[in-house]
Amino acid sequence: MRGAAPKPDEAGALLSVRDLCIDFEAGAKRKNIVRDLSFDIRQGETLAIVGESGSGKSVTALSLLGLLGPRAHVSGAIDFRGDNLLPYDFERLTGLRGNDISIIFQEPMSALNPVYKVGRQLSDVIRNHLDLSPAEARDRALDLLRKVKLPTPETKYTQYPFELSGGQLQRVMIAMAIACRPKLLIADEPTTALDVTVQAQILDLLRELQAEMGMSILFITHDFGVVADIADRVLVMRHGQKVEAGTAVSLFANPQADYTKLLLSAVPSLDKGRQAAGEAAVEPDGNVLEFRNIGVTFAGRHGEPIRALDGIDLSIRRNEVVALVGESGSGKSTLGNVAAGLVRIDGGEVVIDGVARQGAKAGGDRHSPGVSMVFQDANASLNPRMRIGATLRAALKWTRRFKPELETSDDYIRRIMAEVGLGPELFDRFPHELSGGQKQRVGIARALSVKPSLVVADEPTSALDVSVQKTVLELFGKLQREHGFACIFITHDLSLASNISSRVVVMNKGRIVEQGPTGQVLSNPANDYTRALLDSIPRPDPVAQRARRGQPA
Amino acid sequence: MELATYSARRLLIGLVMVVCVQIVIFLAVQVVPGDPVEAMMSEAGNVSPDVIAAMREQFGLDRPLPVRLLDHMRGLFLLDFGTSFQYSQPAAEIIGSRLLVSIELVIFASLVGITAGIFFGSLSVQTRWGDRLVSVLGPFILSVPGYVAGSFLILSLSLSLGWLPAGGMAPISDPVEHLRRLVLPILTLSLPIAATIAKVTRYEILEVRNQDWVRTSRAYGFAPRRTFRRDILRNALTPVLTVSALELGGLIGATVLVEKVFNLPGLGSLLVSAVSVRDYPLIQGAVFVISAFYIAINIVADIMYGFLDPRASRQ
Amino acid sequence: MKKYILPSLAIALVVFAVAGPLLVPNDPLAQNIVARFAPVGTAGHLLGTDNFGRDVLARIAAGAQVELFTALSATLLAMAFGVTIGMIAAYSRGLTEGVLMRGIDVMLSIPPLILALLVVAALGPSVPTLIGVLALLFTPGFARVAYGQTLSVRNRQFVQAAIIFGAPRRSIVLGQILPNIMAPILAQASLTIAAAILVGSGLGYLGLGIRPPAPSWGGMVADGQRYMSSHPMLMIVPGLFVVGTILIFSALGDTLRAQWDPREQGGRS
Repeated sequence: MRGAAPKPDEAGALLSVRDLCIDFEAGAKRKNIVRDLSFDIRQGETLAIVGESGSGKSVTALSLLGLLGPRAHVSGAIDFRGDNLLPYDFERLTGLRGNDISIIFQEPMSALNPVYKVGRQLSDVIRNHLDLSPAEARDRALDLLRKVKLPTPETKYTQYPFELSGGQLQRVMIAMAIACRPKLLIADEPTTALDVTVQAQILDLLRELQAEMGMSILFITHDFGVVADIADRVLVMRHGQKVEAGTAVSLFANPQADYTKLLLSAVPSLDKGRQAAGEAAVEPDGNVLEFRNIGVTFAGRHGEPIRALDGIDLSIRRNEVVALVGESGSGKSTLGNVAAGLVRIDGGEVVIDGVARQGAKAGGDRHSPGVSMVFQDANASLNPRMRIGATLRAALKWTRRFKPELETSDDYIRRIMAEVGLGPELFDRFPHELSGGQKQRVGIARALSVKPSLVVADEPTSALDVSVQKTVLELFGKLQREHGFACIFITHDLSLASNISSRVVVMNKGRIVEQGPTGQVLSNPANDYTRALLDSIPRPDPVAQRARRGQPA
Repeated sequence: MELATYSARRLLIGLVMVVCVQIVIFLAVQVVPGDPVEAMMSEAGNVSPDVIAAMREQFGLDRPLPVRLLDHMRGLFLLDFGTSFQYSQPAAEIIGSRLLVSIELVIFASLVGITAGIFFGSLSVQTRWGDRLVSVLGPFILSVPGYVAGSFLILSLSLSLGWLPAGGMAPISDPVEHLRRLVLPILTLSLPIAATIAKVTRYEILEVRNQDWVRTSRAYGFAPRRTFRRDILRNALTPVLTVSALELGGLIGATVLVEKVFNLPGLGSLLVSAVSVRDYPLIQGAVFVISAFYIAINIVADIMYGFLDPRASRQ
Repeated sequence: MKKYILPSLAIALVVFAVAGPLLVPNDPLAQNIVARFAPVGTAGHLLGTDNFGRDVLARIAAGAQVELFTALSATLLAMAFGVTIGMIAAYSRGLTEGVLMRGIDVMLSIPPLILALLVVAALGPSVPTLIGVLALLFTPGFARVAYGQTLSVRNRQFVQAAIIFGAPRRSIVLGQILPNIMAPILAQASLTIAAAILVGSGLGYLGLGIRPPAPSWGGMVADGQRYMSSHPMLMIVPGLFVVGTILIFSALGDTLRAQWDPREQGGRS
């Protein structure tokens, strides 16, 4: 264990924001985004700003460096080491940017110019603020790349951004950010787009660098697990205003505001899942789905074959909810698509409801009328030119060709809509008139209306805000119990899986590495990968997180 | 050396294209009704069938189609297009003598047009009046066909104001006069190119401006000029390049028209006259040169694209 | 209100083309040597007369008929063929796609006016030939747009959803994909009409349009150019009509295209 982090300096704050107000011009009107926001960041400490989409947290972060563009009107005071940065002075800002205050962004894949080499861009940043020759800058850049633990830095130096992975690019961004030893590092959702194992590594890296350099970090996120892992103090925002602020430990243990309590309760917790291990699954009888030795191959970028699924054996019983868990590239979505009949297998057999759909004994149609799907991006899954009622009716009419007993009347449609919590007035609306949560309910309604025996839910809640996620998940669970259908619940979030399924299947690189009852897999993983996955997930409990890292609370 | 493989592949595709185009043109022209000998003879009044047959033989028109095709392709590789029916001289020579003017027009017009286009496109993003200029003038210029623009320019700048000659061409031995006579035609040809390129440049700059890496560049304290040059313009130029190559097709066609408007002895006007009397060797030779040139430019553009955008050659 | 100006102008032009020759009293072919070179604004000859004493307005109206008729028919044909080819190529993938799109590429390798020139000269200038060659010229443009659009729409999730919920292929292509690609195709159509008039009148200028004495705008500009120094109006009037017509249709195309672009981003909540 390294030497303890320097204690936050009580005396003077490094950054002090008072009564920050941010408006945006939209045409002739002005929209208020942030109102009366005040907070401090002290030397060497990490402040996390947490909120849902639309809370104004990212806008706040960008406003500190004046990166909001000409249409933004920022007022109040931003006091950095004694200087008020407002009103914006371009000269002063240019001197600060990348120098005393650095920022890293959410999408590492697009944060760098795609036509210049990675090393060149890093050296350019170095030479911009420091007076070094090209050779010296190159050495310094390589040092930085080593410091952020980028593998084979000399090779990576000469590569283009598209040749690096997301996690690697984020390390490069961090290298760029610390190049001039900033006093404050702003991190705008830097791990949201990364796999959970990579996220854990990046968070570790940030902590190490902070300990070594004594810099402060302003960390923007929507993920409470991350907050618990990295923050000393927390600020909760909603609709552009401060809701609550305090130390991480006290906020989690004793939230004061109702909104904070709501958010915290909506966070899916692994531990709850473990405890629910004993819950019996609904009486299973007969297999809804059977995969025998499934293989799927795609063509890669250079034309080389990529094995998306390899040797998959999986059975799902009636009314059983199975969580399919894996990181990006694990093949979980592909597996769901095979079940739905969207993807052709090149080996093995697919049997659904007793009928062979793909493989040696299969007839013509890959698609089974007993399988329906709920998509991740609810917006994209609805035809923008069709009204809600029409979309639902179309799905029913199409399925009726295979299931003549299916009801397709408008009455039936309205009943289903009511069941998922959609008012009848939405029948004639277009998708763009609905909210994200409402659109997802439409997706669920559509999937249920055709009376499926199996529903493939492909990350149905990851695009939704945390508060909406909880309601949609509860709705989904209730409908599953009432209507009785089996479900393949695809997710990258083990905590989520634990709350909804009776069985967990863990995938990695196209193979199933472990499967079993939820409680058992989560408390006693047999496979190393599963264990690594579990360990990377940050728990929304700062005391527990610190204990896991072996640090004093 | 992925760039080399990429370039080689593009070159190969280009060669195949040229051959395909030639075959298509050959068949199209030959298979169509109407006979060059008849066309020529129709003006001379009653001619006995023996004479017609003899002339046919002399021009090799009596041989079967596949043989003629093979002969033609073989000749192409030696740049021998056969002998012109009209002038009884090697077609290649005639074409060669008219090449200069057309090449000058095409090259100067593209250079002027593309440069002006990028300049005004960038300007339209940065200043209010530049924006107005491009969005009003641009579509207007593009609605004016080359022959209309050319004749109007002659009317205004040449006849009314007498600044520049109205047409015709002086030999290269008199460079000043030669160039003076090129000014109006080049202006006519480059205006639509500049308008299109300006429109595309403007669009691409606006697209690229919102990209994440531009924000990163600003966030790390680089001067706005530098950010514009390296992060915006550089990335916007790749699609502009593609469009420029496409524009060239239109330019070559427009050159044919402009040569007539300004009475210039170029390849385009040669083609028009050859076509009206069905002078096959001349037609095919001219089309060969034109399409080879066009395909060559596209290959160069493709290769430059591979050079500008590393993702293209390495994926 | 403002957004109806362009479509109304376009419709007005079409009406003028269709009905114009009937409304204008004079015969476009009637020569009257006595009244030649009458200036614009003469009684009975609103736009003057040409070197043969023929009424310019009547000739413009007759020319409009030819130009617009060829342009519109060619565009419709090109759209029908091009969209079909593009959609088939995008939907079938594999060999069919390769062959079709390579064919399109080869066609695009020939500079358009050259191709038009050759075909027209070979087959002789006549309205059907003109329409045919113009349709041929503009089919690849539509094919490209339809191909690209179909590919992108086909991979969108609501199409995948339709497949999962058992939609028959015809329903997917006609009901899901086609309505979502119509907007850029219509924009392309408008621009193609403009381009067709440009190329068509260009051929007329070269003397490869319809046979004289039938009037064509390009031919009128060519004839007028001979008298440019003494009677410039003979060249300017048809030139202005050409420019104006092209301008209206391309502006229409541009606004259609602009309308389609932001709409896609406007549907967020």
